[in-house]
Amino acid sequence: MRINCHAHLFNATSIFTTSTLDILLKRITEMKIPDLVKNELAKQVGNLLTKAGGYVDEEILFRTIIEKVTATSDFKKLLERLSPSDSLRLELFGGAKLEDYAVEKLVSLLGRIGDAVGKENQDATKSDMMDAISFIRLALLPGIRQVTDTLMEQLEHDDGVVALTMDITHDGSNRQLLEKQLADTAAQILAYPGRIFPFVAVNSRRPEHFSLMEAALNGKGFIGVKLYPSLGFAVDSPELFKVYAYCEEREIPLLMHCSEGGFYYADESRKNSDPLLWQAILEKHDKLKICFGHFGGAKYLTSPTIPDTCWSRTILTLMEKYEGVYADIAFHSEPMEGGESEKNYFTNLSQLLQDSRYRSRILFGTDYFLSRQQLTETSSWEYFRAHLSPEDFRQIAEINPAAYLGLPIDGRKCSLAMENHLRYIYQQRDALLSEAGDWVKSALKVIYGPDTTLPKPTLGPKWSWNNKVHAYLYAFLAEGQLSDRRKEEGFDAAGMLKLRDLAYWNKGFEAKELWTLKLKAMAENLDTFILTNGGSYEKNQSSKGAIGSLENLLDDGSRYIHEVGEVSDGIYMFA
Amino acid sequence: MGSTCLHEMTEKRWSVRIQSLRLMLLLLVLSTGTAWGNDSLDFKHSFRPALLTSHGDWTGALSYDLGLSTVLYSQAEKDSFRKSLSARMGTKGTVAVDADLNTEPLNADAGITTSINFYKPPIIELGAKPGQFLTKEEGFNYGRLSFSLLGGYETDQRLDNRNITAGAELGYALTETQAFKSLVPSVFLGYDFVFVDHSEQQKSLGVDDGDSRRLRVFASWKFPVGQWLPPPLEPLDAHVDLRYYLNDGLPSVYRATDKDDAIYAAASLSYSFSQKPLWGFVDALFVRVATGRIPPETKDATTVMVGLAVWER
Repeated sequence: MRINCHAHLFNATSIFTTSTLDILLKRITEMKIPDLVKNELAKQVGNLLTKAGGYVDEEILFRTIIEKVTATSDFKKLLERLSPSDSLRLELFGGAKLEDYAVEKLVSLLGRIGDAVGKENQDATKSDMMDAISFIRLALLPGIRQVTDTLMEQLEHDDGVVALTMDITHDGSNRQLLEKQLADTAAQILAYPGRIFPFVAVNSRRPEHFSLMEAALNGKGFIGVKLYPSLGFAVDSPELFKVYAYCEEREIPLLMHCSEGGFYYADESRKNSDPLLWQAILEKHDKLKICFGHFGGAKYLTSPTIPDTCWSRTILTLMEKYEGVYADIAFHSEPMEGGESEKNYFTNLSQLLQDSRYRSRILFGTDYFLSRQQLTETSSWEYFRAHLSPEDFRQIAEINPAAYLGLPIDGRKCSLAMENHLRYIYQQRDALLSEAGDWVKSALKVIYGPDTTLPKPTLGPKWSWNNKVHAYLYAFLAEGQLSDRRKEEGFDAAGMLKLRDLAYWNKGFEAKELWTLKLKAMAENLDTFILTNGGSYEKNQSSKGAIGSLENLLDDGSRYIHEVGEVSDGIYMFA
Repeated sequence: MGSTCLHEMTEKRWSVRIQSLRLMLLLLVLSTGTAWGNDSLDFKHSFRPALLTSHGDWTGALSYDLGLSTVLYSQAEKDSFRKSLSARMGTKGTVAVDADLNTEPLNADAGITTSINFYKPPIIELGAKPGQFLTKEEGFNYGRLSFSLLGGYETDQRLDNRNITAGAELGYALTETQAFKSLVPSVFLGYDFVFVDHSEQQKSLGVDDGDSRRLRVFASWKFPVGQWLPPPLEPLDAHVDLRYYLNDGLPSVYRATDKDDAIYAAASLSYSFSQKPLWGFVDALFVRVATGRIPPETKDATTVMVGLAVWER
């Protein structure tokens, strides 16, 4: 089982408030994209998160940015300098009707604008621009579920993810926002049982941090603790020593942001992540499992030799003394620039992996989706897999993460934190949305007895009565397409039927002319049914498009009804 | 004598090669149609491998169905009797390893269609529990009626008999099968003007290519027989497919050979592996007994087809 030990599943609205928005905006302004675009991007994202109440319309966002950027005198001068036959110049001078552009076309246009502006700015490239847009789009996804789905789609079926939550607060306010983030993250455990390992964020500036941590670890399936001291708190405070004692006793792993980049409250608060501060902590809690995220910063590993005095060296020194010290290589994008930087990085990393003092302490991580500023998740995995030997990659992506997290595989006993995680899965077994991995099933038998099994997962949000489009689709099918016996089996069972099980299905057994008639009748009748019962088209959908999509869908007998529900959900909405 | 036979054999080989080339060209041209699609066009396709048998001979076959369509107008009203206007082009047929056993023609056509649905949606209110809803206002579904104008090209697999067609179609289809509705057939009537492009059959009968008119009448039923049987047989359905073709204006010598009309009748049983595809990829299994022919196929035959529905997407 490969595990990404450093990832984030939150979206922007789940961690940022009007009072902490400047932390996100600081991050945007550090992106390597043209200032002209960057400033407008930061401004519009700020406006959206402040005023939109959690709902983000990508089309409005990107259209507004394009309108603002192209209206500036700097950009108009740039356009005039372009060749008369330049496609961007032609499109914008030709009076591009932005209101007619769908979001993908707007994104493409914004990328081209960034590319054009970037040609006059040596620090910006087209890829930076598109990566920045991709990052913003991920951050603006409507919920943690969507961010998770986007990540899991890029991984292999058995891959796991350490999901690090964040608590951005300076005065302890917005507790509800944190609780929602924790609850939504815990829900992902049930969506992908045995593959999501959440860490609860602890920020000692929040007075209730300890009780919130305890509740997450004991009752919500969280298995570790995330510290982000550059958000403005000290790691050597009495409050956090209480946290360390709790974690050490229960084999709960910690992960601390440890690089000079990332989010920070103020410049001076970046120093709170200095690993040297951990010397005193580990002297008192020498069994503590602590992973230093980002290994202190990739820049030290891209040097010909790792400097004697740097955060990375400090971490290595701690590794030599304490068996619970780990480091991950998340967001190590510097070597991807190639050349000496890449050569030095992998020489250093390979040497560390040959050294018995460090070999078992280095973890693979990508920093998804914050890393999307630079490259996709799939590319991250592929890059490190290609540049390390198969043995070394397996060591950092499989063997070491399993030990760090306390997974009960390869003969290892289940850690207390992991046992709590498994108990959470079992207690919530009726809400599982997908099949748990074999290691989960085996571990549950050890905890609860050899006869322990998990129920077949429901389809969850894929086919839910709470989703009105799904409910009305079922009602439509019940009125003439489902047999009485199928109707008695209920709504959930109907979701697992295929289109070929419905009354209209006669494809291949009649003249094509008749089959075509039936397809059109089904598509139009479903459309009429939903509209008549209060539904309406989603934005960018039309009658013609809806009928075409439905006809296409209804022609495929191997489609499940819940798949029709998912497609219909993209076409229709109910107020 | 010997040299004459050799000449005939060589000519026959070339003839077969040219025919194969034409067939490949036809398929190639139609297959590459996918590249022309865009957002406003819908492309559909299905391929179904099968075994064909006739008079004790067996052969492998592949049925294909490709279609490109677009909706020109669709009434988005919420009321009953919804109307629409659409255009389409497509091709379908069955290609067999042994062409002599193949009674199904290869078709390519294009047309424009207007239609009306005899459908009034019920007004419902959703209940709190999954699957529960209250019908506040009853609706009805009495099917769809459509009228089309179209033109096309059709051939048998050997490309021996090829026609250009133009005509009108009237169709009625019902999508429901509960109670009496399973007894109501879906029906189709088409009237084509047939312009013969090439006809080996007419040549063999000693007449020149002669244009004609053709009536087509199709009817189909689907009986959900599994619903009346024990639960494991729930996915079992019976299907009846009747087709009648009548040619008008054929040369008298042609009528004398009894080739001016054609009947095709097929009865099938299908079983859908709804929960779990058989062997992981078979969505359904079917057995079809068919007799007669579909023009321009010229030979009546009784066939039994045991088929699998796979890779439908």
